[in-house]
Amino acid sequence: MPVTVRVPPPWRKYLDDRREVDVAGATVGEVVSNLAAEFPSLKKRIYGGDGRLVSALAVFVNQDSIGRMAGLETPVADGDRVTILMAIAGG
Amino acid sequence: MEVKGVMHRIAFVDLGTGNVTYEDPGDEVYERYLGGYGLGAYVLYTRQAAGVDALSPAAMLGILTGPLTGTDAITGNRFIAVGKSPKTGTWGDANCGGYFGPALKMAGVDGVFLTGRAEKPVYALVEDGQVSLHSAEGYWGLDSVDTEAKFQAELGKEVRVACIGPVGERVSLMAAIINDGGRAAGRSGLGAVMGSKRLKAVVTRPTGKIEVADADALKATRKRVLDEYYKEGNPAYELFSNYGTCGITAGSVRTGDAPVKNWMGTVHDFPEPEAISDDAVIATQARKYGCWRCPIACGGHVKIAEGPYAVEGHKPEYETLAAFGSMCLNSNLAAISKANDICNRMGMDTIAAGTTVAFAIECYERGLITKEETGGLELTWGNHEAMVALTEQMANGTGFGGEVLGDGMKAAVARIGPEAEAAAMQIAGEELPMHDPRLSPGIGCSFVIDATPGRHTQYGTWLEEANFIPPDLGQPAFPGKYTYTGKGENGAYISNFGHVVNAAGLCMFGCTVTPGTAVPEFLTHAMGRPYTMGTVQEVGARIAALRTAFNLREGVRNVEFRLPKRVLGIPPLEKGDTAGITVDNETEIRDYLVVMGWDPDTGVPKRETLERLGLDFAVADLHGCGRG
Repeated sequence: MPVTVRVPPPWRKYLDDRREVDVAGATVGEVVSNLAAEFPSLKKRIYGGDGRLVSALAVFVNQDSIGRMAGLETPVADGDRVTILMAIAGG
Repeated sequence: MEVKGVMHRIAFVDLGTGNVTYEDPGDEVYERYLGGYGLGAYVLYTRQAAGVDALSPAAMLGILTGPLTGTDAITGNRFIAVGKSPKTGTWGDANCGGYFGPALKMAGVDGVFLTGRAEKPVYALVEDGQVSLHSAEGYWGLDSVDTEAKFQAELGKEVRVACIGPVGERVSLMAAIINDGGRAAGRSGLGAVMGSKRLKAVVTRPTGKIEVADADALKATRKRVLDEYYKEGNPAYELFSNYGTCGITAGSVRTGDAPVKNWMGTVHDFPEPEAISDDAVIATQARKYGCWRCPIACGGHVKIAEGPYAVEGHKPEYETLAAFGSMCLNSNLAAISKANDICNRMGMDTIAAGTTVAFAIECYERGLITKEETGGLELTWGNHEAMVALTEQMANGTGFGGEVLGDGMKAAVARIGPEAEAAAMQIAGEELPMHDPRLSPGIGCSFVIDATPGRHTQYGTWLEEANFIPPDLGQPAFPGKYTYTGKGENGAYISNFGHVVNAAGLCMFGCTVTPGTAVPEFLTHAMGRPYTMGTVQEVGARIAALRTAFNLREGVRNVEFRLPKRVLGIPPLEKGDTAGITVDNETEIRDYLVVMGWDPDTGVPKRETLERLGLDFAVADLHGCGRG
C-alpha cells in the first residue's frame, strides 16, 4: 500500500525536485528500502556502511518517531505520511 | 617573529572625555587569549572594577575581532561584542558575522573598548588605525538599515557599520547591536550598554591589509576544508548552504529540539511545522546572502511583496522561526518574517522578543493579564496579528508591549506579578533560546554553567547529542545522551574547542561542518605559532575559566542558577519524541565542573587550575591571598 514519504530538504534534487513521493510498503523498513531502490542516489544517504539507517536520520510516521514505536518494523497504513529528517540541531 | 594575523593595536575610547589611547596587547596575550571574547575577558577582567553597574559610564563595551577574522581561514568573518550584561549581571557577549568584523580589522585595530558616556549621541569612526568621535545627532532615531545607508551615503559605500536602533537608544534590555543591514549581535543586552553610552555606531573604513604568518599554508588548509565541504553527499554542508538554519526548523519541531507553545507543547500541538521551515522560507527568498568570503553562505534576503506583512530584509533564522513560530503556535511565515524585520531594523534580539511574546500569550491565556491591560490585543495562541502588533510595541517602547514587556521576561514578571514566573522561560534574566534539554541534555548544562547563562552558541556535549559535532574533532567517547555521568570529558573537550572558535573570530555554526583539525592549522598559519588540538584545549580552558572568574568576582555563581522546571521535563511531556524525559541537569553539570578543575559545589576554578592556566592574577579574587 502506498504511503507518502517526505524527505530532508537537500534530497529534493535526488527526487526530481520533489520533497514528497508515494512509496509502497507495509512497514517503515519496506518503505525506506523501496525509496532507496527507486532513487538509487539516496541509498548511501539512507544507509551507513553497516547497512543500518544513518544515525543522524530520524524517521517519523505521522507525528511520532519510529524510535518510540517498533523502529523499522513499525507498520504503516494507506494514507500515512513517513517523514525522514536530518536530526541536526543548531541554528 | 611577532604574532601575525592580528593588528597589534587595540583602542581605548573614553566617550565622556573624547580621549583615545592605543595599546599593543603583546604577543603573549594574543597567544594565550587569541582575540574575540578571549582577549575581551582578559581586558575587562584586568581593567574593569568588580561591581560596576553595566549601564554606567564606568562599564566597558568591547567590540573585537579574532586572529582569524579577515583571513583565509574559512568562516573567519566574525566580530564579538563583550561587556557586563545588564540583563544577567554576568559576563556578556554577542557574536555576529557579515562584513563588519573583517572591516574593523582592516581599519587597523583588533578591537575597540569604550567607556564613559557621551553628552550627546556620537559615533566612532575607525580608519587607518585611528578612532575619532563625531556627532551622531543626525542618526539618532534612525533604524539600523537607515543608519547604515546614511553612513554609506555620507562617508562612502565602503564603510561598514555596527549600530543600535531605537531600542538600544532607549536602553531596553532586549537591545541588540546590528550590522550589515540587519544582522544581529543580539544576546546579553549589549545593545543597551551601547545605548547607555549614547554611542549610535562604530563605523569602519577597511583600507588596510591583514598580514598572516604563512599565506600559502593558510590557503592550503582552506582548500582542504573546501574539498571536504564539496564532497558529494556532505549532508550538513548541503543542508546549510542551500537552506541555512531555516532548513532545520521543521525537523527540530518534530524531534523536540524546538520548543513548542512556550515549552509546554510538542509537534502534536503544532502539526505542520513545514509551514515555517525550509522550502516555505526559501520560497520567499529573493537572493542568497553570505558573510564575508564564506563558502557556506547560509543567509538570505527575503521579499514578501504583498499583504499585511509585506517585507524585505534578512531571512529569518531558525531561532527566530521557532521563537515567533512554534513557541507562539503561529504558522504564518509572513508574520514571522515581519516580526524578524521589525526586530532587525529597530535593533532588538529576536530570541528575547519572540519568547517574550510567547510568555505574554501564556500569561494572557492563564488570565494573568487582560485584554484591557493589553490595550485590546487578544494574546491567544497562534494570533499572528496580535504577535506582530506586540512586537511593534516592544520595538517602539509603546503600549503594553513597550511598558510591560520592553525589557524582556524577567522585568515583565516584576511588572505583571509573581504568578507570571511560572511562564517565564528564562535563566538569570536571559530568555532561553530554541534548543531543548529534553532532547539534548547537554544544552541544559551550557544554559546554566556557561558564563553567559542561557546561551545556545556555546559548544558542549549537546553538539554530540544533536548530531551537530564537527568532523575529525577527536573528542573523548560519549556515553549516550541520557546517561548523565561520564560526559564531563566529552563536554569539556568540545566546549573548550568552541571557546577557541569564538575567540579566533570563526563562525561556531560554520565550524560544525569544518574538520576540527583545521582550526589549529588555521591558527598556526595565521599567527605563526604552533597550535595543536592540545594547545587549543589549553587556550579554551583558560578562556572558560576567565569568563567564569569574571562572574565570580561579580558575586555571581552560575551553579546557583536554575532552569525552569518545565524545561527539564518536570513534569515530563506526555507526547512527542521527548515524552517521559526528565533531565538530570545537576549531575551532568558536576561532572563537567570536575573535569574542568572547578569546584563542583561552587563552580569556582580551583587555585591549581588557575595557576596551571596562567591565570594567577585571578587567584586572589577567587581564593583570597593566602594559600588554601
